[in-house]
Amino acid sequence: MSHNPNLASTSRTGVFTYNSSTINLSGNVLSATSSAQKTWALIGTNTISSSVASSSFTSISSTYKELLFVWANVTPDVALATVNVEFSSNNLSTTLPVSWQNNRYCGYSTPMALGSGRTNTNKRAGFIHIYNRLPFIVMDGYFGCYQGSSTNGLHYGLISGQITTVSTINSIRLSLSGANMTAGTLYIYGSN
Amino acid sequence: MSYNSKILTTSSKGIAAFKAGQFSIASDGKVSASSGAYSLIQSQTIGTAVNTVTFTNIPSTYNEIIGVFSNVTFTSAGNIFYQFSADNFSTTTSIDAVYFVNSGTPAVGQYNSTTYLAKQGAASVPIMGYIHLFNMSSSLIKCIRSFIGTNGGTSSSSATNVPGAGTIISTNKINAIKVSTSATFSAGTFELYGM
Repeated sequence: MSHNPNLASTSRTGVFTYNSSTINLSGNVLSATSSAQKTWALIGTNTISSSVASSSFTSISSTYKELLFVWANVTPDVALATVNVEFSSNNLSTTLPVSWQNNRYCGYSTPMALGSGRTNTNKRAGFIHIYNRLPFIVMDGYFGCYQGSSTNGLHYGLISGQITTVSTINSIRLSLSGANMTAGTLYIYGSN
Repeated sequence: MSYNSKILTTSSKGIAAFKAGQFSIASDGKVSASSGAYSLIQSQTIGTAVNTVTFTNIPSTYNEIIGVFSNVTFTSAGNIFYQFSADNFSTTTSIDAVYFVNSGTPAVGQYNSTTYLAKQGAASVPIMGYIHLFNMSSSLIKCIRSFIGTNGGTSSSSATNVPGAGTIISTNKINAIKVSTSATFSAGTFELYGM
């Protein structure tokens, strides 16, 4: 570590902020943390404990320029249920078309149909990382299954795509085709 | 804005470095702090041939980790793998599982705790790549994205330039990452950044 000997030799102690940084001088030790750094905030958590058709996050603040939508342990009540994800700019009053592809499908549709697991014991997991900046809202991610009794027939894939909208998205919904979810946890994170 | 006026009125000039950040003290006594969004946590350069590079004690303060490797060459063609741990590889059970897929081989799915990135096409072709880990403490799963590609040469295997993604099933934050090859690394730099 290099330092300014004149500054370091001061015996003053204090804390001040400058340009979004907190700078602390204690004895000869200078330290700082910068609040200007990129951070992630947990915006919401949905825990599924009884059978539901969908789970969603709404009213996501537009201050977040990146979103990380994570789902884990999502358990369908029937086999071969495909995971669907929808995006909206108006709290799911309407949903937005998405140009997307994954290892199994590609298309321009809403909802975005991801892969399925072979059985209802194959718990679904995945994430979508969204860059929520107009005019192009792009995303990428992963979907898959785990904790199943067999890997045969399981589907895994990369996700990438673009959401068509004139407004940043403020809501996301996850559901299963022809099935309800009986367990699972969903997270939404936001970053500046 | 709050500040310590005694510090700001100093006439001292210079730069004090702390961790990955830098503090600049201008001639008028004003102090500014600049720090990139990502801090370099660790760096390792291959000096003698090895088949494993391990990063341990990754601070839990980082919610995102980016591992970058560049100009990596091999003694012979081989594959690259990642492994993750929440206890500095003290045990083999610190994480539940890793699920990963890339667009090379295999086409769909990888179902074990060693993440297969891609096949290195030829020993003479340097490769580069990165792995981006979202290491959120509050989430059951950690999200991974990756890319591996050639960094020179005139030819490569079609399985070399590939994106990938996956999840690590773990309620604990990852604190160690191991990069290994079925061949031997003969040169290259491995860096780990955190945010």
